[in-house]
Amino acid sequence: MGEANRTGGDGEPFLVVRSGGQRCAIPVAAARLVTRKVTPTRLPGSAPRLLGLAQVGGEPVAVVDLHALLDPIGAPGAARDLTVVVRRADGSVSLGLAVDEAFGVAAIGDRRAPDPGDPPWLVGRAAIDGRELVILDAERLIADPGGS
Amino acid sequence: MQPDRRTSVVRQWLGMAILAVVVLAGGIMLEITSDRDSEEWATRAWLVIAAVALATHLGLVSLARVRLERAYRDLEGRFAVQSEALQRSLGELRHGDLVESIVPADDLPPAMAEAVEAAARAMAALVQQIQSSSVEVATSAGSVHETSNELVEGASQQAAAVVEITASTEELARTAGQIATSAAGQATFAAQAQETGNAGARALEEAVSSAGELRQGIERIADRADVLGQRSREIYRVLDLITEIAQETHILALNAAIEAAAAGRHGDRFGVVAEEVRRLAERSRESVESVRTLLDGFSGAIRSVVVATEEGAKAADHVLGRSRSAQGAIEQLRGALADTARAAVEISQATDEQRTASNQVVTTLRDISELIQRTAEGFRRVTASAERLSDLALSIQLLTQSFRIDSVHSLKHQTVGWSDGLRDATASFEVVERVLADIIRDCPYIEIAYLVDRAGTMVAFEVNREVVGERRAGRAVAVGQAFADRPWFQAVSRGLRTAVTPLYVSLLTDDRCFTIAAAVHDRTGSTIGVLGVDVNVRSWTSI
Repeated sequence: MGEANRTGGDGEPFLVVRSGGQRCAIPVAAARLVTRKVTPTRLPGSAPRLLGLAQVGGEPVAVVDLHALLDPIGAPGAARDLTVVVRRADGSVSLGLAVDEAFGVAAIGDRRAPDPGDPPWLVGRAAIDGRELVILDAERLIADPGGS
Repeated sequence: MQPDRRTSVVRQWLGMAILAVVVLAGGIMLEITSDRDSEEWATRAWLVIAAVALATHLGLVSLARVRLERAYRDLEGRFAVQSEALQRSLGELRHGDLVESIVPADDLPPAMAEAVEAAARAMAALVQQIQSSSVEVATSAGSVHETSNELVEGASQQAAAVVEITASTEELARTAGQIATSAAGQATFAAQAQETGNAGARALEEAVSSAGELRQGIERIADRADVLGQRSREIYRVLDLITEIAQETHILALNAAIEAAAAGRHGDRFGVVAEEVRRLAERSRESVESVRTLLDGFSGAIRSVVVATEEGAKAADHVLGRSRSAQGAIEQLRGALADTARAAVEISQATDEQRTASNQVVTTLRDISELIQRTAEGFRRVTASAERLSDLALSIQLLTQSFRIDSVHSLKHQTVGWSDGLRDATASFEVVERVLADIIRDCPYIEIAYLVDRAGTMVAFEVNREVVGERRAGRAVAVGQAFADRPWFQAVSRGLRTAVTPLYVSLLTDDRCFTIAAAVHDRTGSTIGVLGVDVNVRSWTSI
């Protein structure tokens, strides 16, 4: 986990997490809190990727399985160990992302454009220590978690 | 005295009396005559008286004598005839022909004829009675012979069985002795085995005690392993707590890093601290994982120890159980050995008694065997006596068969009848064979019937296959063979009408048999051949 601690480098700082086999970079500006796994209350008729509604820090937060977002046709993921709470820049709406592991904060300089067909909240791809990761846009993710 | 003889004597005395009267009358007349005239008258008178007396004598004496002599001659002639008839009759009797002996008696005076006939019939009845009696004697002797034979056989079987039982009993006695010896040895062995069992029981008791101690040691090890397992679980709980703290620290460091990043340049130093805290948390977690790995190995070893102790406890329990079972088995074995020793002693004593009893039984069986042998010997003597009695009855039968009586049981009479049947048949060979075949058919006890000519040469014969079987006559009997030297032929040739031979062994059946032969005459009474039949005694007596 020592590869994601480059907060002092060039580029925007991102919180590097892993969900399933995919590494993701979440802008630190959008990250509000990393917490242990929460126990959301599932909402009737909700999509499988929406794990439910949980209370974090006294606020109701919708929790989404990040792995289900990245691989919608794959099998439902296992219970995630961590939940990363992201928010809009104005702090109005928060969203919980269930992930497996959080590596730390890293600065990403060089990045390339997303592949054709990627969801709109996947805004680019980069590599740290030779490992590829996808860069998420928290605003778009909160606005349209389904990625449609 | 007979009347005729009395009359003759009276007449003889009467003639002499007349002569005496005539002589006395002449003398008296001569004495009383005194003159010549008277003398002449007296002479004439005497002459007249003499003439009368002579005539009277002739009439009364001489004529009667002539008649008497004639009657004597007639009587002499009848006597000769009757003597001849009596001679013939007695001759037939001498040859045993009680049938023909009656025929000449017709020439005898009725009283004599009746006497001869009565004598012949009495003899015939006697012969027949003797025949019947001899048959009964032969039958009884045969039954006695058969029964005594069966008794001899039974006695022999009994003797053999007794000998066998004696041998078995002797073997039993010997075996009883061997069993007694073996039982004594077995008792000794059982006592030794009992001592060995006692030593084994003691050793096994020590083994049980050792197995119990081993079980207790294993239980102590298991207790220690349980304690170690509890300590391991406590360490695991501590490690879980440390891991949880490390994770909380990690999360706290992440949030601090986020906050530091959000603070921009002002948060750089805080971010460095947060990173150090995160690394410390990371190392803590890595160390915990290392400890957990070591503890896993330690726990695995403890589980192995627990499993080993459990298996050891089970093995110890098993050994203990088996040892206790073996101990119980040895106890039972010791009891059984003690019982065996007692039983062996009892068997030895019982077999000794059995040997004594068997010896007594052997002695008794030998006495019984001797008694049975004596009984068998007695039965053999009875059998021999029955055989002799049977032979005697057969001899009597043959003796009676030498008489010819008017009975179907008289073989001589039957043979004479058959020979009479051949009187008109000798000219035809087929008729002769038919007569011989009829003889064989009517008399199943006859082995062979045959006809020889006057010179003793075989003319024809017929063999009874039911008696002889398929055995061939061969050289014993053949047409053209000479039989002139046979006793029966010579006897008949000497003028006897019939002949019966003594017993001899038949060449056809190897049985005893005898031959009855009868002369065959033509119409003129001349002998033209001899008919012979060989009678098989076995078949004859069985009938």
